[in-house]
Amino acid sequence: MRQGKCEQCGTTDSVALFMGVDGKLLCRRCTAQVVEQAKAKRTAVEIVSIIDPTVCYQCKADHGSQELPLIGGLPFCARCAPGLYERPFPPWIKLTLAGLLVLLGFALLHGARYFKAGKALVIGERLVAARQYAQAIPQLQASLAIAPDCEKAVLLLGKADLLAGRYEEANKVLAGHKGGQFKEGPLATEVRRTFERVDKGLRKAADARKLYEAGKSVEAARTYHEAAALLPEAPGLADAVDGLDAVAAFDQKDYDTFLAIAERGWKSRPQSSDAAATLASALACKYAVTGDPAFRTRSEEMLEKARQLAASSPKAMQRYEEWQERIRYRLKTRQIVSRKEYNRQFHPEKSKPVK
Amino acid sequence: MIPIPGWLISLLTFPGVIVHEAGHLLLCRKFKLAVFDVCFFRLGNPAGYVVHEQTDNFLTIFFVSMGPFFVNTVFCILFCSAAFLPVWELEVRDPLGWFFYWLGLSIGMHAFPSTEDLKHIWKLAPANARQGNVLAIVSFPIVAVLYVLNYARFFWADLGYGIAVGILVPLAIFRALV
Repeated sequence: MRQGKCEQCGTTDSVALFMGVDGKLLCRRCTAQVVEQAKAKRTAVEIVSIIDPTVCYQCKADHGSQELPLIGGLPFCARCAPGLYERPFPPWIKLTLAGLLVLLGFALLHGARYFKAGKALVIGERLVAARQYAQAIPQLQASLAIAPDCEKAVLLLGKADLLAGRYEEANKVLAGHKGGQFKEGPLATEVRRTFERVDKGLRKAADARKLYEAGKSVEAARTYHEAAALLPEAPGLADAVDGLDAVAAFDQKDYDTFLAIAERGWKSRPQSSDAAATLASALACKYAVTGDPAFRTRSEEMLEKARQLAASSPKAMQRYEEWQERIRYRLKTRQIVSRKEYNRQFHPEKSKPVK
Repeated sequence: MIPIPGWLISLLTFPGVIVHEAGHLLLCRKFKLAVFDVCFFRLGNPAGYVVHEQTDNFLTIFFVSMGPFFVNTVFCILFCSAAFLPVWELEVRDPLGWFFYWLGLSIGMHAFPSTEDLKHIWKLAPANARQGNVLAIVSFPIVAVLYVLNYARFFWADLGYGIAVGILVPLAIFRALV
């Protein structure tokens, strides 16, 4: 241990107990006095610790006159020095860090199912952007199965359903999300506008159905055209429009138009018994008004095709039976009567209102 | 600007302080630097510290000073990656997801090295750069940016960094994987 002597009061003691005050070696008592005086005078004073190079900074062991090696400017004995380089982590830190790693593993496992949902959402979004609505629907449904409150997935699924013609499903999914309330945004606006268009189209279609049932086939066809324009994605709507146009043409005795529509229908649906029967009906009308046997021959050919195509389905066969009876009557008598009139004459039981 | 006491921020984000100081200690041990004192967490300024020996070896001082920045950033990315989909994309009411997000952000917020750490790198970098040390050359812009960000902590730059790392990086990883 090195001895020091206070430059103010002359006290001698271990140098480690002294301070360097403005370049002078002072004992602790004198240092306190200088500090007080400096405070009173409001002047600055520089104080530094005095390190005894013969005393270990950590274990305080006195090594007499032997100077210890300095590490970072501090003296450390041979026993303490190695510990500085391998300072241990306290047990609570080890536990905390181990816990953190366990939590991280758990977090990644916990997030795996959300990764699947997120992936399905992104794929669904890409398919919707590529207008592949039918393919997007199962992806978005998978996403919603894990994250049912995800507004983006709900809106995308609603959009995909609407644009795939699945109106009921779209209504169910959109109305089922927070009572149909969505945050404002481009997607929400787009879906709302699509929904309004579809709603208007469905109302028009319902009106057309009522007009048809009331026997106003021309008005029904016109209204159905408006509905079809609003619902371009609805499956089979174009065929239904053609069907109504054909009925309207028949009712107006415009058999050329009726034939043209029937020809187009048969061309677009060559596997349909109904399309074949409609063409047979139109050809029979043309035969009835012109007497041209070519129409009769072709009408009979189309009837046979309709029969063959209906053979696999009892329902189609039932419809075919009803068609063929009236068409054959038309071909035989060259009289064109409506179904209602025909039933009144030959099947009165079908004309009676059902109780 | 919302004045929130530093001790409260430290308390709310204490996992980040612990990870930061543990990273310092680990790297001091790895690079054989003497450690004189360690505090993993306290309600004071600084909230944690590792007092270690200085060295003229640039590689050592770079990794000991910057190590926690990388360690905290990686932990932030991993925790936030596990939580960002349920929290941000899927709107799932999952308390565990929010917990992991808090953990990730807390750790990310304490990624910045202290000004003292940056000063040590800054002091040694010019001489090492002149000798063609690539790491020293690369460290200039990194340290400069971190220096500015460190002072911008008053404007919540540390929280901003945590959020940016905790959202943008997981999002980029997710988009790359899907």
